[in-house]
Amino acid sequence: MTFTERYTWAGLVIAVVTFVTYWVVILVRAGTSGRLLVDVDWQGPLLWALIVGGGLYALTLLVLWLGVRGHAHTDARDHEIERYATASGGGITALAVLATLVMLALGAPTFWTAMVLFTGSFLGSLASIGVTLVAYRRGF
Amino acid sequence: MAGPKPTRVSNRIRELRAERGVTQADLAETLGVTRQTVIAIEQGRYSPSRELAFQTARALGVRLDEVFTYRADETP
Repeated sequence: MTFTERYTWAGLVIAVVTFVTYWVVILVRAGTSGRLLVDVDWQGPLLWALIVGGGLYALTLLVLWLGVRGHAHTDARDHEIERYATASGGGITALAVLATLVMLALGAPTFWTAMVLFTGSFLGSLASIGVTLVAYRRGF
Repeated sequence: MAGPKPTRVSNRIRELRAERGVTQADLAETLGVTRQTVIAIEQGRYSPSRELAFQTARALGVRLDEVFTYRADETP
């Protein structure tokens, strides 16, 4: 398994765990307080999800890189797959950004606006990761 | 891996390597790519760039068309 494939798998696990954990916290808060989702304190969990998820990913990347430093660990194939995957997931993320701008312009609730951006970014990342892993496994 | 290969380009890299006693790691080092990329090319899971294809042929001491063959009649 290549260096890039390894950190892509790590990114998949971290992204899914972070996203699911965030939603579990929000749903539990809404359930226990009896409040609507828009009224739940979502800012703290979202920031923690971004900080912990991003930190874990950076740490994983560092550990994997330390294991291969000094050796050729990426090449033209990795770069081609990365470009292809970025283009594939970028559409979903761009759509989420567009939807967020529209929601801001229409004065939609902040919670839902943030969730559209958060979920859209997550789905965009998931699409990129999926395309990357399929390209490595089935060919490119 | 099951399923159709993403390319109609087949190659004789494995056979040529075996004849010359060159390992995948040796070839990867000569070409400046990872061993996984050599494996992917051998198995038809990756079509190398023209430059890499020429480098592969040179590394194995043969002409390009002795390594790679395009099969137009096969479904990729």
